[in-house]
Amino acid sequence: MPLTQAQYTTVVTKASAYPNAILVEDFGNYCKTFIQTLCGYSAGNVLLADSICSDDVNAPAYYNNNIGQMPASFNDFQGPFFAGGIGGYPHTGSIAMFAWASHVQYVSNGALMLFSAPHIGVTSAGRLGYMVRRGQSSDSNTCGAVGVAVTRNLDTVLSGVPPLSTDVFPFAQGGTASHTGSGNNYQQYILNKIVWDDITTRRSLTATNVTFENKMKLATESIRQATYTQARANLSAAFVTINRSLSDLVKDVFVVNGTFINVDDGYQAYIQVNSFELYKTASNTFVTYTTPFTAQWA
Amino acid sequence: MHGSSLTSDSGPVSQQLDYGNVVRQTYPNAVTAENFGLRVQSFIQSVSAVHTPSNVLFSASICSDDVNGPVFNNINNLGQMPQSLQAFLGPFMAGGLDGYPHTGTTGLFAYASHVTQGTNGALFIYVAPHIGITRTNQVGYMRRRGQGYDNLSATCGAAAAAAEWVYNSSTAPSFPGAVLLANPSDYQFFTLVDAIWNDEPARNAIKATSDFGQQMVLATEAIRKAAYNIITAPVGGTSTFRLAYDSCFTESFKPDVYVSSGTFINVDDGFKAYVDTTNFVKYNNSTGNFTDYTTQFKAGLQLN
Repeated sequence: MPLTQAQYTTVVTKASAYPNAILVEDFGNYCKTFIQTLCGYSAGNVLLADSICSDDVNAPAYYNNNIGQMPASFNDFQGPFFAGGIGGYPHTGSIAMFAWASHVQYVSNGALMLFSAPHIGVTSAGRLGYMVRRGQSSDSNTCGAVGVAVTRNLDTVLSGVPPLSTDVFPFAQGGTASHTGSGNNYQQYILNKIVWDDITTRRSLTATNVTFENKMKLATESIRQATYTQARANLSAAFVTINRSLSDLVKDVFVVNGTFINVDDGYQAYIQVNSFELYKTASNTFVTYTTPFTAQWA
Repeated sequence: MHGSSLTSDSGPVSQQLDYGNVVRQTYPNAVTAENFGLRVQSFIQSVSAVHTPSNVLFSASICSDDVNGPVFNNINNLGQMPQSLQAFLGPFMAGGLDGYPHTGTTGLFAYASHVTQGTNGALFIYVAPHIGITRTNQVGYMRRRGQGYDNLSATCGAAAAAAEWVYNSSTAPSFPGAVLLANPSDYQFFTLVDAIWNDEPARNAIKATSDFGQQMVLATEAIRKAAYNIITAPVGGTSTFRLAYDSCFTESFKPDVYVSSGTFINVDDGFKAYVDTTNFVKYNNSTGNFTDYTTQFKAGLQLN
């Protein structure tokens, strides 16, 4: 008997580390309402950038019955600019933030919204780090790239040495015995390095008494924190280091971070929100609005 | 089909036809992106009837630019990716700055593992950097929504910066390095600069001209070639594609894979985008080579 969406909500909030998760569709509407109320911008006057994972299940909600689990409520924002890559980390860098910001609708005094979130699957059976995809019958490790970073730490040799970009595939850019490798896997190296540099997480990833599912949760959280820090740094670099006059074009950037929770095909996805901030471009300062933002559904 | 008169799919017909003629001064075989997507649908189904669009997982190695967001049904958004490409599953967003497949081997492996195996699905990998062309034929530029008519936006901005870097430099790029390459977060930009620099004819041609439009066409083509090559070449074992494919699939299921590369041509806000197709190939999973279908594919492209 398939779960109802309400039953799925219970699975996500109860069986996992995401007790405050809400439907992303609602989250998108809360963003629109909050931004409108706080600063008066309509969604159509806000250019969105998504630092999310490249995974096809994170594609936008289309008119047809497609597999993407991004909410339809996001489609009312302009864009999006795709600032992410594997694991949702802002791999496109500070230059992308400059490019995106320069696309703002300055004639109508438009604003920007930077959404950053790695993702993790939760199956209807409550299995963390997995989801069931369309046309497939078995659980699919999600995010797969985070899974690779976790798996590297299960390797008795590699878990003891820092990641290198030349590590043999799948851990990074190098090839295998039968394939010499194209040298094209830099993003995986970045993810491996994030969890390596997070010593507390790394210890848990090598522990034998922690399940793979819980290791997925811990690695996702480590990457979320790194994503939060780097997304803010890239944004600030665009306005401070690359071009100071950019702040003449746009005053306000809404900066939102959380964990995107994918679900089995056919259900609506969730998000657990960690922060909602307003970046004031002229003063290069971040003002926190997390409490009033999350109070909308508390 | 598209509600508002302001959506990028519904410029007045005659103006759109005129725009096509402007685009074809630079890319003679360009067709609307909408028609390109329809041709991909019909071609793949002509090869295998089971591969309807909803059974084909799409990977878009396109630029992260917001104008490459989707054309949404009944929403006045600014994206120029046509609805005909939304008929395919996904997409997996394999690109990043200027459409290079920055998500790498892990990205390709993950994407391939998401194929609809239960319905014998297939994969379609599209690799395309982008370039703007204004209605008034300024190559390398476009007019964006909510910006001044005379304030043209360099598109792709990252390609423009990379071409400028190559134009001004007498030494090869390094990372982290100098001039826009200092920030460790900007590896993707380095990849673009490096791709143009390593294409010696393109590098020399960019250095030999001060014409922005020519520099942009050269830089875009250098990036397209590098992007296509890192996926498919050299055939026989060392490509990103072969490493991912052979790691992902066993003899029990080896899905069909179609790969196309080209140039995505963005236009002034309110118009439909165009596509110039360079190649269309199908992976032969018994020989490990790609079979070239470019001529047949292009023969069925509708101009307008």
